Amino acid sequence: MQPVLEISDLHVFRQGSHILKGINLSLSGGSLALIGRNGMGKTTLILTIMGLLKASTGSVRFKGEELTGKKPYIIARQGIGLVPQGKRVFPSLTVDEHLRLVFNPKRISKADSIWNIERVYALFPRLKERIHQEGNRLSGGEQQMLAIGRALVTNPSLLLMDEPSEGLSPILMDSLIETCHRLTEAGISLLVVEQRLHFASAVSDKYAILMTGAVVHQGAFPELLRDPNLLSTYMGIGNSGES
Amino acid sequence: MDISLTTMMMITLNGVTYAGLLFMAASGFTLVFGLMRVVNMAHGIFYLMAAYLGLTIYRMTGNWWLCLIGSSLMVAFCAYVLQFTLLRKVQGDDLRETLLTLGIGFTVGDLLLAFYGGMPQRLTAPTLFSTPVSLGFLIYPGFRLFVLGVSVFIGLFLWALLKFTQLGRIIRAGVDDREMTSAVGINIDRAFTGVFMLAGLFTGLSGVIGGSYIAFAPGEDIHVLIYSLIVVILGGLGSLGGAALGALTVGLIDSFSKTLFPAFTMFFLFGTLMLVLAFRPYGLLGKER
Amino acid sequence: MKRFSYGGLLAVGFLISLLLPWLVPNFYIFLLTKILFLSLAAASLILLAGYGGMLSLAQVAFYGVAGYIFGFCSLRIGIGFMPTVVLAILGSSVTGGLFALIAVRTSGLYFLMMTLALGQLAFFGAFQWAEVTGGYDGLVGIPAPVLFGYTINSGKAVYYFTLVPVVAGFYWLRRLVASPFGLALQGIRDSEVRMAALGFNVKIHKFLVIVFSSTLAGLAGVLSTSFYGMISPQMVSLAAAVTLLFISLVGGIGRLEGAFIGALVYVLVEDYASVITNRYNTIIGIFFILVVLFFSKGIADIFRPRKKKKSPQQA
Repeated sequence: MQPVLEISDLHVFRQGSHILKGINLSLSGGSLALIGRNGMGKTTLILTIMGLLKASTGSVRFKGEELTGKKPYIIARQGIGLVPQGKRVFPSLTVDEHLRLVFNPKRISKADSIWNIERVYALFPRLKERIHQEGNRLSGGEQQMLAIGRALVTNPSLLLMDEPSEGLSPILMDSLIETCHRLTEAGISLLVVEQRLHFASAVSDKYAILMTGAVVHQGAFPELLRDPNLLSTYMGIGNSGES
Repeated sequence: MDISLTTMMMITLNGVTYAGLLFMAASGFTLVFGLMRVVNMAHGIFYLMAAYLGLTIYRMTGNWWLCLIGSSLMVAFCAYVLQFTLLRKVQGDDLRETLLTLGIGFTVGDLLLAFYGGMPQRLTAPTLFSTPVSLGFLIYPGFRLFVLGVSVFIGLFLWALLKFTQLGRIIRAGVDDREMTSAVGINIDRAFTGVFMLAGLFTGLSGVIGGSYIAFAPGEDIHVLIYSLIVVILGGLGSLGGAALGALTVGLIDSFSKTLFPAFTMFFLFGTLMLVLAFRPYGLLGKER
Repeated sequence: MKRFSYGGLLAVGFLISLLLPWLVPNFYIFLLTKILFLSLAAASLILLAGYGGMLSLAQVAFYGVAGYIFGFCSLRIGIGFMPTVVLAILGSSVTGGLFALIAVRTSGLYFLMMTLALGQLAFFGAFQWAEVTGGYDGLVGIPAPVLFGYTINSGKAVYYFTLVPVVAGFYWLRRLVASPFGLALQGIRDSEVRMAALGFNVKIHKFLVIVFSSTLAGLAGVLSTSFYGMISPQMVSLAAAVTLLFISLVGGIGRLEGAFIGALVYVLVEDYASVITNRYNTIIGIFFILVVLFFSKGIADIFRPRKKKKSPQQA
């Protein structure tokens, strides 16, 4: 089976600094959590996949197609959605305008079970209540929902999520975990960048640890959580499950 | 200095109508900056080019309305060509794009000087507007009221465009966060070209209209550029409402200053700009980006 | 070792420049003198834009302030040559300092626009304040400098009179960019955020570099006004600013020495092209456009002095 996402020997520089030093990663479906401490290059990787940063060398293949060098909107149209760090909703647009801006039925190839605006409201009823509110008037949790909904109406087969649980209360975090499960059940692959181990392990069964620009360890979560050596070496974590 | 009420009203009205003209020119300029982060240094040249093209069209046809439409469309087309061929090549590097527009403005300015000479010119407005209109307390030139009317119309048009159309949503989203706009699948390159063309169109309109009651000569492009910059920075880059507010401020200051203390106009304008920036660094209606 | 031979190259260049007036026909001495003070002005821009990362259209304003003060004092207030020069350069420095107070908060495009505003203010001032500046015609008939009793008005004398301060200026600039201040400046150009995080006072550095570059531009203005014997608003116009920018870009804005190359190219183009056509501004403009379009992958590369690359980079 062809991996959904395959990254080979990816090198990325930002302002002269060598951030990603030969990333090798593959995602075959389901979800994968990218974990690691701050500043290790996780966001850089996400932005590079999306085409918002230029790769120096290496390749990023999505369903076999090379992504490096392509513009972000081409990559989005190929089926990758971005839920960026900080949510980045458009402050001047209302909830409804966000979805109407992005949703384009002409570009969706799958005939059945498409993500249209109504389906997003069904997933996030709270958004429907705030339908005419501008992006900058929404609460943190609502912005999170909107950021996800905005990505969903592009009908992606892969969703990139960068620190989705950031700033969320425990209740909202549980709600987000459930949302992620529903998305994977609906057939969308997830690549989730996370610092919070318990969240990452709840939404994904597989992980990859990023340290100083390279993937240093990969595996399945149950083993990681049971191994204190791994945890302290790579995550700088003592005995608690928190980062 | 003894100024009668009528004179005051006259100066104010002059300022407001000039503000209308400034808004016409600056509206596209602010959207280009907000969306593309490019200071279009050729902006003034679009104005001047439209005025000179209008001159040529008038010599050929004698019809002012034809000048208005023809000139604006030609300038919009030139803007399209400029964006599509040259600017796209250096896209991503805002500073380089800006320098490119500077070079183009510089070159075209010299070419205009070569073709049309250095003497000040003026377009002949239609006789329809030559009869002064009575406003009750004073009599005011009809053409200037026309300028005000057109600018209000353009303002409403742009407001509706931004609020109700998909292009408007794209522009607003792009001004907010152009990376994310691209990341949700919107062809931001096409949007850039569209906005740049729109800016060319409106600047062209302002060139023909302005050139019909304000004399123009080589060098006027710099004047228009500086004034547009002040309007747009004052109002907030990327904000249409800001452009309106900025235009009103600049128009009124310019009108009063030119009547009362003509030598200090520039200082008043820049001084006001500094003052506003001291309290609101992103302009009156601008947002941090 | 490379540095030794480069320094040697410069020494040879300096010797040649000393001997040049005796080697070339008289007319060319005038062109050479022009190249000298133009390259100093361009170097001031390269310091600010290439090493500081702050592209500016205001250098001509500083150049003009000094030139006008020099001209005005020489014509109306006879306080002696050297005091006039000092006053003029002080004038441009102070202008730079005052401007820097407002401008240090901005960067990139916003900074460029502020410099544009300053340039325009200077231009309008030169026009409007006719009692002092002579208005449209400017100040003319400025007497030749008198140094230690000698009147400097022969071609060779003016050449050497210009050469000494220009070489001194360049030498000082080279020392500056290699000094801790210069290195910090380049760090700020590359990433203000990082330098601030490392504890550098970014604002002071930006302030100082603006003052330094305005001082040098002022010196160039004094030299130019002495050379021409006049100064006019044209020399402070946006066209002049664009021309100076062009000189720096063509020569290679990443290196100080690029100022010489750019000035050389410009003077030759202006001299030869003006014989054929009045449109040398168009030629310069087209050149400018081509340089911006094709000069490597990004203008950051133009800004960056050519270093040996440690690792492969994509702009």
